[in-house]
Amino acid sequence: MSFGLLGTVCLLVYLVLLVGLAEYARRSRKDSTPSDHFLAGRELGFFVLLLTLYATTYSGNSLLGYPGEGYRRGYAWIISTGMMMSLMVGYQILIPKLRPLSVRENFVTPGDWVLYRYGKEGAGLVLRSVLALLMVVALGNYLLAQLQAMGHVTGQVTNGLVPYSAAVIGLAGFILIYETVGGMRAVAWTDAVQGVLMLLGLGLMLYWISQGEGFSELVRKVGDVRPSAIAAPSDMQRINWISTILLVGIGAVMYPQAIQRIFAARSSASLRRALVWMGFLPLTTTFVVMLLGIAAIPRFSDLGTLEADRVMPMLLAQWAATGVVWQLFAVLVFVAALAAIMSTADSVLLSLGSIIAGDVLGRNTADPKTTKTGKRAAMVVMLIALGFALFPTLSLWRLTELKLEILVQAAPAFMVGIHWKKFKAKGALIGIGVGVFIALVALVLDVRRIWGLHVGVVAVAFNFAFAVFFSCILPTDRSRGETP
Amino acid sequence: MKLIRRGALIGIGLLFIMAIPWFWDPNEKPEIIFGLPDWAAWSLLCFIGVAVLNAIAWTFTDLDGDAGDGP
Repeated sequence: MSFGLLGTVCLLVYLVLLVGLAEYARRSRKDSTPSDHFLAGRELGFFVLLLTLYATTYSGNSLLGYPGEGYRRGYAWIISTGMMMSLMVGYQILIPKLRPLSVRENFVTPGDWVLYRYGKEGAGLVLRSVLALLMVVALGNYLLAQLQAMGHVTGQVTNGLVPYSAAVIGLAGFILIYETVGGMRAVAWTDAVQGVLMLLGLGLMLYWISQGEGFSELVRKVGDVRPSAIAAPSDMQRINWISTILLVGIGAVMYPQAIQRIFAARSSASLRRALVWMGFLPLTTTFVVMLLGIAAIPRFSDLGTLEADRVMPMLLAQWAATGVVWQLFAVLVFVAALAAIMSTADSVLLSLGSIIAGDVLGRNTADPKTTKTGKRAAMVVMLIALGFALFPTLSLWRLTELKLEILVQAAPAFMVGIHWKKFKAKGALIGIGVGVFIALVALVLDVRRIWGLHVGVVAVAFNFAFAVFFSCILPTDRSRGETP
Repeated sequence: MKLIRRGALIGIGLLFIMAIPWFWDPNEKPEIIFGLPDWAAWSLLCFIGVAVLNAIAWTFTDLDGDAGDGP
């Protein structure tokens, strides 16, 4: 059987499995409330919670963008392992306070907490809408990156039998259907399958690299082809490391799809265990995909920025050519990569639906009608993202950076607001205004770093300073429940 | 419980700073340790330490605590 045909058969089997899970999820639903649809009735246990957090956090960016970045930067991309760990540490600031509140107040969207904290009128209401818009823009960007990645991987796994545009449209429609039918249950259960596939696929790839030249020999070969890829980071790169840790540690904590999984956990014990294990997963995921990107350096020289995002499929194609068993393994890894991408796309889409319905349109998150509004919103967002995905112009890592630089501007309102009672909605709004303005000016001028720091990190520092300053000097509005 | 959590978080902060290869010269050819350039092996070791301390910190984090009376 040819590689393309084998890949197409495996892909179909995988999609049928997802359909079965989605149908089972639909039958398991208890009612049509937003809590049941968007949070699976708050019943996610340890195993599913861990795998859905894992599959959601590690995405097409991780499986395609990160090997591409490993190819471009060499061993200095080991920072990707640290940056994913910084995300777990960032949660330490938010979750211990947010989780008990979410249980007591039945939050469905991040905006529910914003209204609870800053008041349901005036500046509190405006702040909820502004934060929701930031999340929608950032997540829309994230969804776009997933759709692009789906198209690339499917083209490779079917050896061109399914072209890029058909793959993007077909799989996007597929996600939309199972997400609409099964809600968070379907998404979380399919995530669990996808998470297992990802771990299996990465394990196989690591085995393949170790069986090839061995890790020490790989360092020598890479050093011969491109000495800068094994060199210690320069001063500017070290600053970039700090900036990357801060950007992800603060920005990625704001992923609403992850925040909603914190709301959806069955118990605090399950959530705690999941977060303990999540801390170790960068070692089995980002570290491995960095090695994949590096393994491509001696094999493929002089790939362009966009081409570098395809080093993993290119490596797999080479691997598949070495024998029948390896061909099957390569197909499995391809399907695992596709699983990673789809799992993130479905989570993002579900989250977007709930945020647009609840936080942007202001629908009551306890009303079953909001579920329908959320489903329609998800469809509209998917159609817009599809339009952009059919004409890719940016690398996957650049899309990730853009997403984080926007999303990180929401951090002070959440991370400071949850700990400091005097932090005011108006102060947070001024801070966001300043931060977003800096980020947008930099985007227009195509400035990506300031003194080696990501623009988003510099912008959020100003955001934080202005928000705290104005929270201190603005008068307290007791009629809106603000604490003096 | 709080003291252990706080200690683990401080340790994590220190490990993140230590993980950055400050003392390696970018112009020198690195040694190979555990199949990685020496500076990368050092960073990886620090990140493993972060994962362990993160596990300790979450183990000693109270997620059922008092949510307070209001904002």
